[in-house]
Amino acid sequence: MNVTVFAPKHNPGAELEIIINNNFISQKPLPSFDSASIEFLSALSKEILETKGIKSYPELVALAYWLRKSNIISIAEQFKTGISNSEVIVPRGIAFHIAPSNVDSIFLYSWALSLLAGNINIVRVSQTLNPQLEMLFYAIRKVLEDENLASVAQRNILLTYPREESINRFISLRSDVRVLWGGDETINNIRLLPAKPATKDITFADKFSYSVIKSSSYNMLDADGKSKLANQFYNDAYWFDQMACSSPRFILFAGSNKENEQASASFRQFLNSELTRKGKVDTIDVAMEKLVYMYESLSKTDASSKPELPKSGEPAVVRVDKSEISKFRETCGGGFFFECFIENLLELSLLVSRKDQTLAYSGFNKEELCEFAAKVNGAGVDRIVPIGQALNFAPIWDGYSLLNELTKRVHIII
Amino acid sequence: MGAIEQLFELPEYSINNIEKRELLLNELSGLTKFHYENCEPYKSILNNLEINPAGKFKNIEDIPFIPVRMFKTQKIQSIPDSEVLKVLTSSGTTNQQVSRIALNRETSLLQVKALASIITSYIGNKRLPMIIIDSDATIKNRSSMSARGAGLVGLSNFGRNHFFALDENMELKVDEFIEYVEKYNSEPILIFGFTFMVWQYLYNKIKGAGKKVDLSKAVLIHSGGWKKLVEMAVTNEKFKEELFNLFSIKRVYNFYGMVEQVGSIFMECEEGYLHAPNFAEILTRSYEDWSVLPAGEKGVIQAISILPKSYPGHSLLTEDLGTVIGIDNCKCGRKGTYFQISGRVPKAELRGCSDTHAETVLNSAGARQ
Repeated sequence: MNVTVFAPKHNPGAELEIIINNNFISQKPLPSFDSASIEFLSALSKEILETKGIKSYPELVALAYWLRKSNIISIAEQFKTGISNSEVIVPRGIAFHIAPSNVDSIFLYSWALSLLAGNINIVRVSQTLNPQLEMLFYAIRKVLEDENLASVAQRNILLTYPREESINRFISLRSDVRVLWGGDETINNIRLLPAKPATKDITFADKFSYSVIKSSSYNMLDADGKSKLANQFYNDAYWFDQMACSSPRFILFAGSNKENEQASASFRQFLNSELTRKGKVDTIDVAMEKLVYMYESLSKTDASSKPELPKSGEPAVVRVDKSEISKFRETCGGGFFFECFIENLLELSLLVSRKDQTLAYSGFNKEELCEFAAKVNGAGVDRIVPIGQALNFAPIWDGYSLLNELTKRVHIII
Repeated sequence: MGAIEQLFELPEYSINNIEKRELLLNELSGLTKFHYENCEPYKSILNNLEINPAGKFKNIEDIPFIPVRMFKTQKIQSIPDSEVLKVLTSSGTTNQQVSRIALNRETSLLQVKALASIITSYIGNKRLPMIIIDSDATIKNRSSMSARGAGLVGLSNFGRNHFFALDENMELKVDEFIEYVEKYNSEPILIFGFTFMVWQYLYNKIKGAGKKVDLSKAVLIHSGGWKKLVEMAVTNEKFKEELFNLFSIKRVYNFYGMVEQVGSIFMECEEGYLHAPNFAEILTRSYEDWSVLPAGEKGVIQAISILPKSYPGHSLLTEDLGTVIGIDNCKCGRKGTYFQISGRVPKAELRGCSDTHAETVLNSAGARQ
């Protein structure tokens, strides 16, 4: 069975059984929060930031910032505060990661945390490489050349192979934890494969996210404030072509109808300026998707306002009635939004469903948001963050405290 | 006489475009209204876009279109199930959704009539001995038919003594083929097949076998798209040239058509351009704002046909790219719009957490999950 290894060394025609041999499987994991792991992540952060052309990939810049030493140490310290003095944190063993296809940086966060936890990692990345991934692999390889990081290099493999059950099975049987990024179909397929009896699965299934803007507050913002919010919304929605689980698909405006109309029109205008400033244009394939999705949506609803046919680079927006929110879960990405007017957050709490992940807000206070979360009562929504932070990865993701999941606690009674 | 009768009455490719568009516009306005009243998803789209189909549209460009892909994702028809005569499906590959086109008797008859009008203008009214570059297994089930099957059945009306040249494994029956050609070679033979199959299973096979077959009197009509041949660096020009070199065949006509608009096909002329027949029209639209493009500019093809009475397929935005070359002035002498096709809109490859489906499709040719 042939695989392509991207790191620690590039090897396009590697034999699976040789790469993941007994020596690899039986080596001892590093201790949790080992200094070599922290050094590696910190060196990777620097390497990414020094990569030529990195500025055109703000999501990679964000990743590099997240990986910097002070942040990693603070994540570790914060985690440790929750550990009692009768517990010792140890790694789980071998972690098998299935990265989502076409996303460059998302899986790196869970890999980094697993590495920090001390696990040995086998990361299967997508078959389709984009410049971002190439850039990242190059940086990882370069950092791992450092002899001082040999302990990390020998415990981590990034590779790809066609979706072959036999390979997934081979690795599954040797894993102590599987970190599975969706789609749902991939997750279900991998979970059908046998692993060890104690293997733990961490799954990041298909998710749905939205932004909600309090219209009365929005309408009071000055042009600077509106422009800033448009920029932050742009980051949430466009960094991953709107295809990350946390990218907003719905934009909700909360308030009276009049307030909502005003806020919606102004928001659209500022977002368009932001997109123009960013030089956003659609390629023909994306333009086609947006048009098809618009027609598909229009065929199923009584839209509450006449939509414009999507123009290149501009968002395609279909306004739907709140009673129909649950009907529109699929979007094509690339700047296709459903828009909906609600009166208040409590109304939204009734519309939340299990797959909802991130609620990015603007204009609400903590009290309102806590009341909303309590009202939802676990029916959905894993994170509530200000608009602009939807994609900020946190060690608590999709309801998991990841370091908790990726380590074991040895309980000691004296 | 109604517009549709006039369009059928007049010789194919004989109407100047201004007159033709006026006739089409009458039909298309009526069709838009009919489908609006009888097809819910279509009505919903028009309502949302605030398009009122009550009167006559001013220009052909104003006739609303729907994306052709919608026939893959939804049941879109304007007749009750009880009136469905047959259902056509597109020949999708693994994991791809297929189009579902419901025909009633009227639409089906119009398709046959339109196709006859177009094809006979090329080959004459006499039925010709016919070789089909396919296997007879492709057309066994007549009530639910693939696009390929529908194409074969449609075209086979123009031939006699049909010979299916491929066996069920898509192997050319070489000896029988040569025998057939020798037997009928005193008159023109009609050959029909899908472009790729003609190339792969006929041309390559005969060439590989080192045989020489004389098809100088034959007419080849072929369709089905150039995707696979483009990958093999075979252009239309090369296709014709190589076929001429091997078979001495001069009359080779490609046509552009789709299962969503069977009948009103766009035939290639002697100049190498595709022509809109009496019952159809072609527009190209800009993907930047979906406005209609002038001749000479490449855009997304909108195919218009007055034949679809049982489903709102009279104005479809395809996912093909092409360029209108001109109107009424092709050197071949045919009137109307003539154009070229230059490929397909590529499949969107957006990044994302959950786009494993795309990858599954890409890999489906190889290992199964």
